[in-house]
Amino acid sequence: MDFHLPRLLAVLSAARVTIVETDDLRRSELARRFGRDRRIDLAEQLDADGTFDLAVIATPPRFHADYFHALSRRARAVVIEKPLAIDAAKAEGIRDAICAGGPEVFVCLVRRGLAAFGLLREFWRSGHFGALESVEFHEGRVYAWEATSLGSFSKDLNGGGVLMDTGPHALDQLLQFFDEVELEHAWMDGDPGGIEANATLALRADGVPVTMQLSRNRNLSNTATFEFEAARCRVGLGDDHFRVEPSKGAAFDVHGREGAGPSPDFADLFDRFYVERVLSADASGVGVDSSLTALRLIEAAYGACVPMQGGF
Amino acid sequence: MGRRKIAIFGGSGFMGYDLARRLHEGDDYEPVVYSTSPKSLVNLARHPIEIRLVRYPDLDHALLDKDVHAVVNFAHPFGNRDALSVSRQVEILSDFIARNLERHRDLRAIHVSSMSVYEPFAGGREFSESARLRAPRSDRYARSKCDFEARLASQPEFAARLLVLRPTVVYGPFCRPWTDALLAGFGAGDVEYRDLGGRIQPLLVTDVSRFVEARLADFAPGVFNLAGPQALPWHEFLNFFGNVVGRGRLVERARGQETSSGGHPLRTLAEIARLTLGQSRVKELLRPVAAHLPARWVETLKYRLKDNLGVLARSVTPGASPPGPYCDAFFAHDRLVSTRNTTARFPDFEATPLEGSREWLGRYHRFRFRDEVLT
Repeated sequence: MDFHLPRLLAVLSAARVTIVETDDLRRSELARRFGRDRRIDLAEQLDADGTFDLAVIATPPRFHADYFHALSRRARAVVIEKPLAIDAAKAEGIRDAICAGGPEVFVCLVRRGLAAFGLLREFWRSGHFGALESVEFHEGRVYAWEATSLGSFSKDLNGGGVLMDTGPHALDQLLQFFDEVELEHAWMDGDPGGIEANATLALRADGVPVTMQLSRNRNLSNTATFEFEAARCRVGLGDDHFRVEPSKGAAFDVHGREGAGPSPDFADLFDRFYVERVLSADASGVGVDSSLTALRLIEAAYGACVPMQGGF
Repeated sequence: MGRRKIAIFGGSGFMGYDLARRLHEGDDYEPVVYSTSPKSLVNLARHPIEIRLVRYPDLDHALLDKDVHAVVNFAHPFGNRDALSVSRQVEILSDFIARNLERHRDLRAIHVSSMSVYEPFAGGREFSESARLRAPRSDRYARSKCDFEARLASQPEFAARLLVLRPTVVYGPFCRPWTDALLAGFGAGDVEYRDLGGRIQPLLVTDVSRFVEARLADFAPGVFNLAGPQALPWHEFLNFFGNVVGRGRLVERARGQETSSGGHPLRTLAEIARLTLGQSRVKELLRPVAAHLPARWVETLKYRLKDNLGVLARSVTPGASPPGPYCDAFFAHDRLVSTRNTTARFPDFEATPLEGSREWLGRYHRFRFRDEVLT
């Protein structure tokens, strides 16, 4: 709500926004915050009638597919929070509905607005740094999100833990760089019946070994390190630039956007998503296909994972 | 007999989590965690432990399941929530415990309070459980802790089923002020300090859990201090974490000496505390210090801290020359409790000396702050 609503109003200049909130307490809180804004209506349930220019589905993933199908004939475009759906089968159902004449879909993969991975890929493909030997990807922050429900911690509502939470973003960044990504091994913490706070994936991407660590209770470096024959390149996961440490010569930075400045924060990325994708009606990179690829990898990881050792 | 159900409040905090996990992994108890917020459940959610989201307004009339053997409360409100003040939240939670003690005649309650109830501490004195509690009005955290205890104690008919625990400085994995902040501080480099001579009795989190678990089987009503086995100066406690990290030193700064610049940057002790001070709980701990300093000094320090460290708040007193660091008083004075009563009643209970946690905290440091690949 805190990210989508301001952009619907300011970026898309929405004349009317209907917020559907089924929880009484949260609806009261929303009424307190937005009750005076005449552009905003609050509803307990989605009405059966009415059409929309845009629908935003920001519920727990369990409800993404159901709400999509309820809205697909009534909205010209739909923004769906990541992951696209709670599992690949439901995601395929969404894809099939789109192919059958459904609305344009924008999956909220806000890191598509970052330039670093795409730019580094161009350098790689041009042979700039020699062969790529390995990649390490470490994403971890101590969870401090102002969650409003148990959704993020419920397998039923969220489909899993950190892999369903930040995994779609992280895998999407890899998919900006590589064409093909396959799972080799997966390790996760948590007891049977619990949801993981840590996941390690051993992947092979375009023939290159990739180690990906995701965490919701570790302060990791939040970087991806690419080891080339002739250089090491380090990308901050929230950056538009990457750092090159050549095997010979001084290190330097490569910036992917004009006017190098501080790294964009989450709000900046949301702005980019709404301006460069939704407002521009450009779903490239944030459509259904790449989300589906990531979801299939996530499902494969859950199916193949073994218990992680050495955690806390 | 099947596993006995234990209701835990504050189970998402580091102490509550340690207990919930210990009970879950054991054979005797089934923890059920009541959480008033969905925010900090990452660790708990890893286990098939039942979590019940119960907001404060709902607690006002809620009852525990009839088969709950004991309720253990680690929760303490730190800020307004659900449009309720801290004092109102304390009222609701304490009334909830009392209501359930009245309703369920076999229910036991363990309330984990804090040594903060003894504020203001006095050098060279070890506060016993019978000490009169006189937390100053300016120390809102200590006052609310005292209020909580007072509300529970106001109904003597429950005294035989109520245990109040007053732990000292508790440290261990996932403890933000007294472990994470210190590890992060030394991980960033050297730390300056002025006076770390005050003594504490640091207590490892697993010792709190062991003690509580033992009381579930062998309940003992009353009020008990729970302290670590050593009275250590802060200097030694902080140095220990520096050694765990393996970088960064404690560097004493003489009075009048400004923070040095150039070369490897030195940081004041308040830099470590910047992470610590960001915790509202610790802000509350430090309020009594402000009560003993001239108001002008406090305002100037607030300005300096906000300006230089992004810490604290509100008013600005430009032009005033600052006195010694704000943190001087807190770390310079002893904060000690008497363990005589607890030792006499529980002679077999042994807390872990600081050195005994070194290897474990070393592993935790690598887990929490390094990219070590876990498989």
